[in-house]
This record gives sequence, structure tokens and C-alpha cells, in this order.
Amino acid sequence: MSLLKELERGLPTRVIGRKVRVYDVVTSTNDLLWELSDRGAEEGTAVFADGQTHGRGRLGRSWWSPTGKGIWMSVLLRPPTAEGAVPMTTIVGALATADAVRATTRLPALIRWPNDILVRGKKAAGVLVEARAAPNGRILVLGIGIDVNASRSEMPQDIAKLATSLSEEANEEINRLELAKSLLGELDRWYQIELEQDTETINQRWRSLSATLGSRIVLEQGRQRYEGTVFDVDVRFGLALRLDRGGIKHFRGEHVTVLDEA
Amino acid sequence: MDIEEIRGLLDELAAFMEKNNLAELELDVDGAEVKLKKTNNRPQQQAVAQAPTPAGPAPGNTGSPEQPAQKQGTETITSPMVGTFYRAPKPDTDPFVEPDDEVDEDTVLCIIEAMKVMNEIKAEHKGRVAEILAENGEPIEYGQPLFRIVVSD
Repeated sequence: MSLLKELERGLPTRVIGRKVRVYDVVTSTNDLLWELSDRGAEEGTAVFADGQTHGRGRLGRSWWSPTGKGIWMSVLLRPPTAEGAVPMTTIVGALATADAVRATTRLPALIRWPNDILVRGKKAAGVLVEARAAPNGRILVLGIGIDVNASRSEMPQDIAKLATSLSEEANEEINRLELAKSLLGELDRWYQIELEQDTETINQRWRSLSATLGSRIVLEQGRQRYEGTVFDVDVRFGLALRLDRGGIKHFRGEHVTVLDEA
Repeated sequence: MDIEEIRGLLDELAAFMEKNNLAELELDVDGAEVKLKKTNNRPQQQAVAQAPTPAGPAPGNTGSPEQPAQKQGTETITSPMVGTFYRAPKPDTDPFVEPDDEVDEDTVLCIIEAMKVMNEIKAEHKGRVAEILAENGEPIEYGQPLFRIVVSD
């Protein structure tokens, strides 16, 4: 039985964490939650799995999810879709993940714009948000994967180059149950801040945890390439780049397709 | 100067105005005139107003009203948000739909990525894909036409 089974008792949170389902191995927690959503699962429902056979990241990239070694979870959200409301769910997921990792492990988790969590420059967690239309508004599935206790030696080679696990960085086994509880609490807290449209609180925390701020990057928008130094991140205005060729340009997250460190 | 460069220039000018707290700016460079005036409290307001548009009530808004005289109507599926248009779930797989494909209300036509949220856009109509109006990977604007669907009775 999964170590995480205890989560099904629920946490005394407001929306996220009250209703939790824990599974052994699933295809992907996002897929599973879409199925539960079709059957009427309520907002805030979270699913955890010990392992995923078809974990995925952005644009269908596969996500390595070794059984019993990580946090593989998804949560169902229905944020208001009012005109003018800023879609902040991706950054909310990243902030909650970074804060939970920091609280549980004391590791210096940072956010690489906008949906990767890094520890000492290597990716330790990621966020994937998928949305579908619903009769009155939209349904979002926020998926989070955290590499918790995998050892470097068991990682596939291409992953070991770019990624790490919390236990590798902390030099000790991490308690997955404690991390999962912390994550649910942080998600609940940050989601409330999103519902209040408190962009300033989100921006402040994002800036203080940003691995991207101040770094030189190359990004693509449509067919154009831009190189420069990031001098601001903002949920409304996007990423502000001081271009190498001179001038300042803002890139809304919606339009940036490739982002690499220069 | 292409549209992207013009946008970039406007961004720069808006940032300059913001930084120096200017309400108006006029510029004449080699006969090209630019006049910017702050209407709200932020010069970027206008550009930004489009950004925070999560889906309207129903993504895949139908655009132009169909012509009632036609036996088979055509519906234009427009983008419910600013984002990046993807025709396939992954870069190396087949597109969700091709021209002439039959679709129904639940057929997924494309994904619009907005703030790293992958938004599925469904056909919302039963019919046939007549035309695909945007290119894979292209940045798109709110209300931009994406597909023409010939609706079956």
C-alpha cells in the first residue's frame, strides 16, 4: 500500500487537499483526473500516484516517473474565467512546489520561467497545466511532478544530465508524505491568492524565487529569435528582456515558444 | 520594418515613457512619425488588455454568423485567447485534424498554449474541416480565425 495513503483522510485546507485519492501506478495523474472530472469530481480534488507509466510534460514530452520515488500528482481547478482575470495557474503551481520543497527539505528551490523547479541549476520538478472548456467556464488540471528520492545511478542518462532529485541534493532520503502534505497546503494557499487576483504578492514571490531573473536567454516568438538579459518577470506583463541589440521588449508567456539559457 | 519589429519598438517606447513618467511622446525618424499618448495610467495598458484573457465562456467561439440562405453553413472557429497555436499534441505526431476530416462537437481541433496552460479547442459543431487558417507554432491573437468548418445538417 502506498505510503501516501494517509492523504486520503484529507487536510483542513480550503479547496485543495480536502479530497485526495491515492493510487499505486497509473498512466498519468493528469489523464486519471480528467476521467474523474468527466464523472463529476469536484474542484480541489487531488490525485497522487506512486508511479506513472505515461507521465508527460509540455507538448507530450515524456516524464520519467519511477515508482515510489517521487510526487506525481494532479489537482482539479475551476478558476473564474471572468474577462480580465489573469491566468496564473502555472506560476501558482510552480510557487507552491518551490515553497513546499523549501519548507520540507531546506533546499534552495528556484523557478525557471515559467514552469520548471530547479535545485542548484538542475531540474527537480515540473508543472503541466491542461485546460478544457466546460459548460460554464473552464476546467483546469494542474499536474506536478517532483523527483524526490531517485538516485542519480538509476536515472536514464539523458535525464541525469539535466535533472536531479531532492535526495541527491540533500544527501538524505526525503519523507514523501511530509512533502505531499506541504505541497497540498501550499497549493491551497497560493490558489487563494490567485482567486483574489493578488498579482503583486505572486510577482514578489516569483521574483525572489526566479532562476531566470538576471540571466541571459535566447527565446523564440513565432519565427523571431531574441537574445538578451531578463530584468523582470510579471504574471501580467510577462518576461521583460533587455535585448542585446538594444532596447527592452516584453514577452507575454502566451507567445514564447522556446526559452534557453544563452 | 516588419510587424514584430514595430511591436518591439512600441514596447520600447512605452517602457521609456513609463520610466520617465511621460504622458505623451512624439517621434519623427526619417519621415516615420510615431505619436504615443498615455490614456490610462500605463502606456502598455492597451497591449496588455488582451493578454489576460482566459477562455471566454465557450472556447471555440463561433465567429461570423453563418449565412442562413446556405444549405450547409460554414462556421469559423476563432481563438478564445492569446496564445500559441498547436495542430498536434506533440511535435512529432499527426495533427489533430486535416482539411476534409469529419468532426463532431467533441473533436479536438488544436491546442492553444497560453501562459503554459495547454488549452484544448473543440470543434463544437458536427461537420467537415474546410480550411485551417493558422500555422503550427504561430503566435495568435484573441478572436483570430483558426478553422473553417462546413457544418452538416
